[in-house]
Amino acid sequence: MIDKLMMYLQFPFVRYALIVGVLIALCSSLLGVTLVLKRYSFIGDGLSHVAFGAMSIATVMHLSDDMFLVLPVTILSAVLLLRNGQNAKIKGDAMIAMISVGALAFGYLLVNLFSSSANISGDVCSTLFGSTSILTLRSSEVWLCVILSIIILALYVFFYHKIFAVTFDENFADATGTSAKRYNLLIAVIIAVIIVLAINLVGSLLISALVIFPALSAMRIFHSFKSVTIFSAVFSVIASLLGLIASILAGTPVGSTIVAADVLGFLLCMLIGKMVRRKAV
Amino acid sequence: MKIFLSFLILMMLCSCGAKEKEVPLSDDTAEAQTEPEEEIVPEQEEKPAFDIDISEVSQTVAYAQILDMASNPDNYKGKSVRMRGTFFYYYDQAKDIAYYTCAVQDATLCCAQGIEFELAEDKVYPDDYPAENAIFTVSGIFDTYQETTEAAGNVYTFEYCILRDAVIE
Repeated sequence: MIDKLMMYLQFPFVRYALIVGVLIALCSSLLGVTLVLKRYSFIGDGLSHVAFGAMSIATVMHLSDDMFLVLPVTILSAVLLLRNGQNAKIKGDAMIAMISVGALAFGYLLVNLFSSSANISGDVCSTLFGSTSILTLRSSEVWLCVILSIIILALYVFFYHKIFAVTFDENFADATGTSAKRYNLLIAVIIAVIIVLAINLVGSLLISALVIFPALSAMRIFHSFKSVTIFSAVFSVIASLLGLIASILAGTPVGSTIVAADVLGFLLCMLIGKMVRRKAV
Repeated sequence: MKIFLSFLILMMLCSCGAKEKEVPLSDDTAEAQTEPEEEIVPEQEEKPAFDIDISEVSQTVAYAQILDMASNPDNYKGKSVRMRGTFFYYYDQAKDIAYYTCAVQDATLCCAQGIEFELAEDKVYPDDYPAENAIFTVSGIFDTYQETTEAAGNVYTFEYCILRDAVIE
C-alpha cells in the first residue's frame, strides 16, 4: 500500500490536495471550537450555501475567477450573521437558515436559467459534494490557500485570548475593555475565508462537518479551551489526511470520505471519553 | 537515566543492521583461482513506458488527471498517455466525422471526462473497436486540434484533446 501511495504522490495535483486539505482542516478546526461554543455550529452550512449562490452568479456572469465575487459576498454574509452576536434581533439559527436556503435556492435557479454549461447537474453536484474539486487545484490556488491559512493561523494565535473572552461571555469581554463587536467581526471574516477555501475540500453541503466534528470530538475527552483547541486541530488534520488518502486509493468521493473519517473519529473519542470518565470514578 | 538507556538500546539496534565486513580472499585460495571475475554491469533504470499512465489508478485520480489535461493541454502536448475508461462513439452526420472517445467518470458518477483517440493504423468501426460502453485501455500521444462550429449565425472555434497514433490494448 505504501508503494501505491508513493505512486499516487507522483501526481502534482495529489500533492496539492494533501497540502491544501491539511491546511483547511487545521484552520476550520480552530475556529470550530469557538463556533460550537457560541452555538453557531451550522454557520458553515449557511455560509457555504451563500458561497454557492455567489459562485452561481459568477458562473452566469462568466467571471474568469469567481473568487473576486465569492469571497466578498461570503465575508459580508458572515459579518451580518456574527457581528451582532448575542444581542441580535433575529437569533443565530433562524438567521443562518434564512440566508442559507435563500442563497442555495437562488443559486441553483440562476444556474438553471442562465448557465451555458454542458452539464449543469454535474457541476452543481461537484460543488455541493466536493467529489474531486480538491484534486483539480492549480498551483496559484494552492499558494493562495497557503498564504490565507498562514494569515488565519497568525491571527488566531495573536488574538487567542481575545477570541477566548468573546467566545464565553461577550458582555464581560466588553466590560473588561475587549470590544466584542470588533472580535466578532474578526471571527466572521476568518470563518468566511475558511468556508470559501473548504468548499474545494468537502463541498458546500458537508462543510459543517469540518467545523463541528473536531470540536465535539475534543470535548468528549478534554475540558479546557486550550486542550480542546489543540486536540481539535490534531484530530481534524489526521481525519482529513486519512479521508483524502482513502478516497484517492479507493476511488471514493473526497468530501464524503473525509466526513466519514470525522464521524468514525468522533465515535472513537466518545468511547475514549466514557472509558476515561469510568476510570476516574 | 531512562533516556540514556533508551538511546543506548536504539544505537545497539541500529548496529544490528550493519553488514559484516567481507574478508577478502587471498590469492592462493582455491576459490580465487577457479572462479573467473564477473564483469559488473551497472543496472540501467527502466524507463517508464508512458509519460502519464492512469490505466491502473483509482477513478478519482484518473478523472482529476484527465480534467487537468483538458484544462491545461499545453502542459501535456507530445506526451505518451495510457488510460483506461469507457468507450463512446459518436458520428456527426452534418460534418461526416466519427469521434471515438475514452471517458472516465468521477467518484460521484455525475460527471465524466474523456479524451478522443485516433488509431495508429486504418481501422474500421465497429470491427476494430471495443463495444459501445465497454471498458478498455488505450494509449497514444496527447495532442489537441481545433474545430469550428456554426450556431445561430455565429462561428465558434473549440479546442479538443486527442490521443494520436493510439493503440487499443
